Formats: sequence, structure tokens, C-alpha cells
Amino acid sequence: MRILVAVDQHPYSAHVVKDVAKLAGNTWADVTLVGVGPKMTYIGQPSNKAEKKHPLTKALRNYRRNFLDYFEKEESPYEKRACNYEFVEVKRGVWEELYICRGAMKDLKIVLRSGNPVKEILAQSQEDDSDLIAMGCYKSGDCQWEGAVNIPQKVANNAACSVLVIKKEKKIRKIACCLDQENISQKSIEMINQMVTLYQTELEIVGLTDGTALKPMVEKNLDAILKYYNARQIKAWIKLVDVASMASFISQEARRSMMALWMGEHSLLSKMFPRGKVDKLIRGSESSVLLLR
Amino acid sequence: MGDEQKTKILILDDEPIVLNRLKPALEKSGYNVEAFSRSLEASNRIMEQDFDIVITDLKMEGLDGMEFLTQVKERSPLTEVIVITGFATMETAKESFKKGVFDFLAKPFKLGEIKEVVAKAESKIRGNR
Repeated sequence: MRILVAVDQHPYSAHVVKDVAKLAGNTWADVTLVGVGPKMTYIGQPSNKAEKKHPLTKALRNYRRNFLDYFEKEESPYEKRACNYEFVEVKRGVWEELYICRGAMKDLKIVLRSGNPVKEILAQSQEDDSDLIAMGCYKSGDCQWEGAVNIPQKVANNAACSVLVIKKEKKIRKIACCLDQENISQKSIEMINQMVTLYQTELEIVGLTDGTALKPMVEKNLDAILKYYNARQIKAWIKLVDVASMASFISQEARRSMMALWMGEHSLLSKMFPRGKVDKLIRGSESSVLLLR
Repeated sequence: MGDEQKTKILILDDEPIVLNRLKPALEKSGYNVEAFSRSLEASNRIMEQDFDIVITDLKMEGLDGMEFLTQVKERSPLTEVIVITGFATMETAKESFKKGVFDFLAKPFKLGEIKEVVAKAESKIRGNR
């Protein structure tokens, strides 16, 4: 799994880094911490000078240290290994002794970009081929991001991968997962699985109904999902919600649960839940929000 | 290249959708791939034949992936094992590495990511030969 953590200098970013460290501790994901700020005006300066010259460099370095502190050094997949001379087969039958620095098992990099925060975060995600973008936001109200508003919403609406907007210090007890049972993607189920494991929560699988009986295929899909979770000792149940009341259900549920919405290309939810409503959900939700793709 | 010379890979995952995605992708990259959704069948197969690389899920019904990993390493210590898991925890990651896995990948991952890991494992195997 590849995770992109978009950070700024607000306290919620420190919280996001903490949560992502836990997720990375479970998944041994490749992680990039990205900050977007004013243009860098120096190259190769010693670290203390760099910190004075750019406001984000210090924050990024602190986040990296906090991330690494989550792991015991001997067991960390991000710990750099020693450098040695090793014979390497450079082509079949030809060996060359090269000075090899065995890197960490998994990548942790910090990247500083300048420009429009939304464009830069999305560009970094594309370059990394991320599976998940994680970013923070205050518990209620607009998400202020270094002077710009609603950056998490804009990223969430435009990303090609899943986006997790983490609200600070809210204990997650339940994930309410709206999957659009006719077009469930494997990727979205897998992302939910990691979240359920990370937060040790119960799982409410929300199915859509138009008030009539469920189609046999839909019923079969939902039943298969439930059996899948039960077989893995995850407390899960199905709740059917009428299409007409889905939007109000989501906004109410967001007050007490982490909402996970599948917003993939063919998702009915993406039609029912346009950009404006996603903005409102992220702004109004007291808990974290996961948009799955 | 004949089938005998190709790198032999066994995949075990109880989710057929994963096998359906992974097997053709690795075959297209030139590997000789056998895929199993039942751990018992995979377990019997590794007793008959050594594989260069084994890719296994962890949380499955029947034989647990960790037990399967142990079996593979006991039977064929040079086989490189790649763990793929949908329910990753720090403990399973640590235990996998203690048991000598080559890499640990949490789902979801892109095909490119697992292909990279398989290529690294193959390169290590060639280096050991």
C-alpha cells in the first residue's frame, strides 16, 4: 500500500501523522509526507539554515521524527540499513562489485512542493501512484489550510484514489460504510478492512433500497459481504436505507461514526452525493471521513 | 523461454477476485504461475513441487497463512515468500519477518507494486544461485 500524507502546520496534521504511523505500523506501507508552501530559494543548505528559510521544512522534519518514533528502531521497516560492497549480477553471467546501501524495507520520504496546494497534493499522489491520501481537518467548520480554505474537500473531490480526512482526537467506534452494493470494488473493501483493523471498530454496511424488495443479485452481494466479515471475526451488520433519505442519513450518521462512502466512477453514491454535499459532509462531520475509490 | 526455466510462483488467496487479477498479470510478465484459493490444496502442492516464489494471504478459512508460510519455509528454505494481507497488523507483519518472508504487502495494492516486489525476489533468487 502507498500512502500520501498531506500536511500543513496546524495541530491536526500532527494527529494525522500519528494515525498514519499506526496504519503504516500495521501495513508496512510506503509513505510520503508532503507539504505545500512558498517556493524554495536554496539548494543543499545545511538543515538549520533550511529550517530558517522555509516555514514547512521544520514541520516536515518533526512529522518524520514523530512518525519514526512510533516504531522500535530494530523492528522498523523504515530504518536505513548499512552500506557494504556486494557482488551484483548486472547482466546474466556478469557480476560487478558495487557499493550498495541497503535502504529501509519500506520508503518514508518527505517532499516539499510549491504552488497551488490542491494541484500539488494531487500531482504528488499521481507521481507516487498512491492508494490513499490522508489529511487533517478541524472537528467542525471550514478546513483552514495555510490560509486557504477547504483544501481537504477539494482534494477529496478530485483525487483518483481514496482520501481519508482525519478529524482530530475523535475516538472512532463504528465505521458506517456506504458501498453501493451493485458496484462494489475490491479495492474499497480492502481499504475498509484496513480501517476496521486500525481503529478496532464495528462495521455498519449500508445498503441502498428504493423502497421495493431488493434485487436477488443485490441481496446476494450484501449477504456475501456480511459472511466475508463474519468469517473474519469482525462485528458487522447490514442496514438498508432508502435512496430518498440517504443524504440525511449520511449527515446524521457522520455525527457519531466514521463515514466511508464509495465514490468510484460507477458509484450511484457519487451521483446522489455531488461535490457540494461532500464539502458539507467533511465540514460538518465530527468524525473522520473516508472517500473510497 | 520454456516453462521449466521460468520462475515458478504459487499464489494462495481465498478471494478468487485477487487470484483472477494477479495470476494473468504475473503470467503476462513471463512467470509460471499456479493459483489456489484453498489452503489445503496449496499445502499439498508445495509438498510435490518447490516454487521459487510463494505469494500468500494471511487471514483465510482453513489453514492460516502464517502456518502455510511456516510449511513453505520448512519444506523449501530458499523459496521467497511474499505475504499479502487485507487485515494487516503490526504483530502479523513482525511475525512474518521473523519467519523469513521476503516482503509484506497490505491490500489494496496496485499490480505494479506486487510486480516490483516479485522482480526483486526473483533478482535475489538469481543472486543466490
